[in-house]
Amino acid sequence: MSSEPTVQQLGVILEQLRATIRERRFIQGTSELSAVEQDVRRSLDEIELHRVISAHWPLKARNPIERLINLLNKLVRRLLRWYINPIVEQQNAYNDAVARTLRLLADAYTELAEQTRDPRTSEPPHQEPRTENQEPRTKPALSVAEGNQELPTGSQAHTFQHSNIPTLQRAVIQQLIEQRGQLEPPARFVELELAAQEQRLDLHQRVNAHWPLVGATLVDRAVAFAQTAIRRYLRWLINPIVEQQNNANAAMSSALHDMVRLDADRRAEVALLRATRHNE
Amino acid sequence: MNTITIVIPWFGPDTAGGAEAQARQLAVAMLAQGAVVEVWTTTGRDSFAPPDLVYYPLGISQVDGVTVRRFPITPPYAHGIPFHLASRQYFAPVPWQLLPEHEIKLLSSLVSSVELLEAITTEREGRRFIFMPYPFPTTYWGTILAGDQAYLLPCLHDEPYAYYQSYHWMFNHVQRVLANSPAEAAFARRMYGLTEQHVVVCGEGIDLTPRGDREAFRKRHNIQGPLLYFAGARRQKNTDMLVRYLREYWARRGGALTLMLTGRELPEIPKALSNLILPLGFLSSAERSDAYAAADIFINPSMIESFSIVLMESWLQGTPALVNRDCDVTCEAVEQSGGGLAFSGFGEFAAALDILLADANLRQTLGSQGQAWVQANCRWEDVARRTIAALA
Repeated sequence: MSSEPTVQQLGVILEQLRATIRERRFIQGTSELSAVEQDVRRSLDEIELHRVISAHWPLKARNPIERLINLLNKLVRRLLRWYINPIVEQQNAYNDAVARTLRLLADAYTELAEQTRDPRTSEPPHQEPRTENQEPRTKPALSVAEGNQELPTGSQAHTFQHSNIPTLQRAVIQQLIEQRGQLEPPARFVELELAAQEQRLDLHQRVNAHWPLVGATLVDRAVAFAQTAIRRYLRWLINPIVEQQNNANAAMSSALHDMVRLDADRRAEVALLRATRHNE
Repeated sequence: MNTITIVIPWFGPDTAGGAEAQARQLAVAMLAQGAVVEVWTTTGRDSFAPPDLVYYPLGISQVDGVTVRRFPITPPYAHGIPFHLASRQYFAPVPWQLLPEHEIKLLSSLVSSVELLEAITTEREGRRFIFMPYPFPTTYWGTILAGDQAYLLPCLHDEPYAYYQSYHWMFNHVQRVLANSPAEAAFARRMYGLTEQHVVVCGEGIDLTPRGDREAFRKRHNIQGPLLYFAGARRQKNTDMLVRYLREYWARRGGALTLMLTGRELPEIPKALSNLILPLGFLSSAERSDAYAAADIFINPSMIESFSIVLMESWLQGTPALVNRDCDVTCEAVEQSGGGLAFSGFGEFAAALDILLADANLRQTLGSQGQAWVQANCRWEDVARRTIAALA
């Protein structure tokens, strides 16, 4: 005998799973994050749980009449899925872009907070940019000359004061750059990820209810013709919904773009603060 | 003698853009070699101006002694498959009606000139057409309409469009592909399965006469301390990344440092970085020469180059370069010339700046090597000779 859960049981299981995830994330987050940051994380988890819209939710029935109505509803839904599902999928793609952008913004705030906490101690021990006439404030981790001694330069090694740098010597400097590059503390540059995400927002922002309906064969063309007629009739119902959603999407995108710009401004201010502290 | 006809969407004295500058100088150089040269273009200014803007007057004019014929600009989305092709008057070895929809959409989203394409069909006898750059409808449809008189100067780099089926076909269909650099030629051969003979490296030149005035420029703009420079800065050229990298470098090291950006499409610079970033907008070529000379290091973070005019111009002024290791073209130039160094990622960027900023002798030596290489390899007369020979 089949023991597959009913739709109602599935709903209960799903809600239990969501509660478990929330609880686990809450416990994980409490030790490191501030109260506001925890709220942000919880809101992001909520978005993650609800960002995917389904056009095929379970239809519940308590008596034979409702079951009959449900059967009819299911038939209508199945017959219209060529029209409704692509619209829902477009909105899901946009919701996904919004959710990712918000998560990146939250990461950006956290990372920025780390930069501001203790700038003096968190800076890597490297020298500041200087010209050859200035004395360095701190000794570089590895000078070019030292690098040359440590790296396999071969018999053609020269110092840079001479007129030409042989190919081998340039290769050695290049190798030194790679070596010292690995010693440099990493930097994440969340805003570059945000810039890519902004493009996704713009790409998916507008949901289109009128994509081309075409067919290669005669039968496909006949189906496309019928679908075009149905869509034309139903546009009084669908188009206003899509337009309202598009307006909401546009407003959300605009707000997110502004928040990204604000993040860039704050990041610049923190950079100025960190650079200034080096000069003190 | 065949008339060499350069077909390009924008052309003129006020026109910005690498391919447009190349077309202008190549036309003059080929004319100086005794070739009969014409340029067919539109009335638009450049890719930075509104697409329906009529900037230059319609008809025939002279630019630097070259005959320029301007056709009405057809704005994006106002054209599709040209009439002659749609009505199947011309044979093409690919059924373009079956190209993926997004590829046709890309073509229709770019400026074109229906009248220019019409002229190619009616006046192609006695001409050799050089179409440039590769993605535009004037190039794509033009190469089909010009048939065996079509040559392509693509200004190709690794970008999503380059992988389109339509361009794959175009590169194979034209008589020859004229590459700006060996790295570009290698990419084209690899990408489209082309033979050695089908892709000829004609190279590209620059004006070798300008001599910049370092001190005058620094005085004019009140610049003190180390100066970094990126000319032709815009989003596609990785300018955002450069600004972010430099901001982090500055935050970690402190000290006086300036990054000068010039170009028509500069990014928004936060107020707090006003001491670090100097956005100067579009500069005249004379002032750009001064800017190159004033800089201690020229940085080109771009990954989409087929030659990099700005890199060559900076070397001409003896300024060393720092380029992106993920760009084959600029890396190849740096390796061949010994005129600079390369970075990949922030760590290497910071390390390279540490080394270059700390050593004036190194900067001078690299800059001198770059200068010597440009003077030997970027002469327009050589490029013009190679181009004319490739069309024979």
